[in-house]
Amino acid sequence: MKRTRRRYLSFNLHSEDPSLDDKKLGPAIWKNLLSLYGEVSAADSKLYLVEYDEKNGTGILHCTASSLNKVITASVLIGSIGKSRILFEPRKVSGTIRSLKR
Amino acid sequence: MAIDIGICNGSNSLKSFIEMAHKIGYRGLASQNIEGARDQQLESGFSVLKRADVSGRGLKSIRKKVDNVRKHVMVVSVTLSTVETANWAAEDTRVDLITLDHSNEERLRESTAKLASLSNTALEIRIEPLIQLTGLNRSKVIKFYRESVNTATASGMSVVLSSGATHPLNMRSPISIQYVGELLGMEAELAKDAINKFPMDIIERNRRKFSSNYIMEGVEVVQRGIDE
Repeated sequence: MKRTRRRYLSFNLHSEDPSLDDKKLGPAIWKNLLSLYGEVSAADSKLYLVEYDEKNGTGILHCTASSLNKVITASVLIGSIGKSRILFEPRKVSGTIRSLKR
Repeated sequence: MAIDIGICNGSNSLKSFIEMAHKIGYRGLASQNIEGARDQQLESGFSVLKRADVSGRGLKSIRKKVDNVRKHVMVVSVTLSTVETANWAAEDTRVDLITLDHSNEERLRESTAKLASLSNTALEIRIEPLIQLTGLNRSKVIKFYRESVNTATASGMSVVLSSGATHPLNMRSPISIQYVGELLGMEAELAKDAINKFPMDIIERNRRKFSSNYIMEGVEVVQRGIDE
């Protein structure tokens, strides 16, 4: 079986709500990906939130290489989570977490 | 060097927009609600530019408004409405942008796009509706934007992407806007130019026009004689 190529995306999140955590952020990205590109694309993306630091608003997303553009587009088009406005800012893309943090 | 050419800071203070723009990688922004000179440079090198969004009932009122504002602002935009006004705006070199209004869904015609390509008038697409809307409503806006982008690029008309943000958190970084451009059917390189190059080209062109050496398109004073 051919192994799918993976990508890690680091991001900054600017938000009105400082208590916004990974439990809200992860599903919000997934939901917008589903809304924008459909169930098959969302399933194929293998999207998950690797880590998110609420204090400084930085985090890392995982997805397949082929779905990277869709994941970024869906993430930047999230206007709000709950009632608080957010601004998702993609920073860097890499094939490994180690090189992303370098 | 990216400039967000379409900020709509109604009641929000301009300072918060400037701070956010600086944070996410812009070197300038243009907005309607700016006091003072049309082209301001902050100490950090950040450009704050005056812009006018012109719309009206008929061609006569729009033409009059453009006559009044052109000298006082860096960017003049006319909202896409009737064929008559759209074609006039596309041909008039004083108009920099024709802005799509997703709420009236007046589509961009091929004839308008061809006229605009001859006079360097660009199509402006604001991404804020895509951030604020969801589901079917967003899908309709995406359809409308994609059709307009397709018509513009097929006719050689430039497309400019701006945030159209009414709140600092509705702004998006240049790289984010580039991805949204690709969603709207633009090639990656064109989407990059739509946020990084074309807005800057418009500003540079207008700075040249406002300089004292400018006579008319293609004619500039390169050296002045010395009075003896």
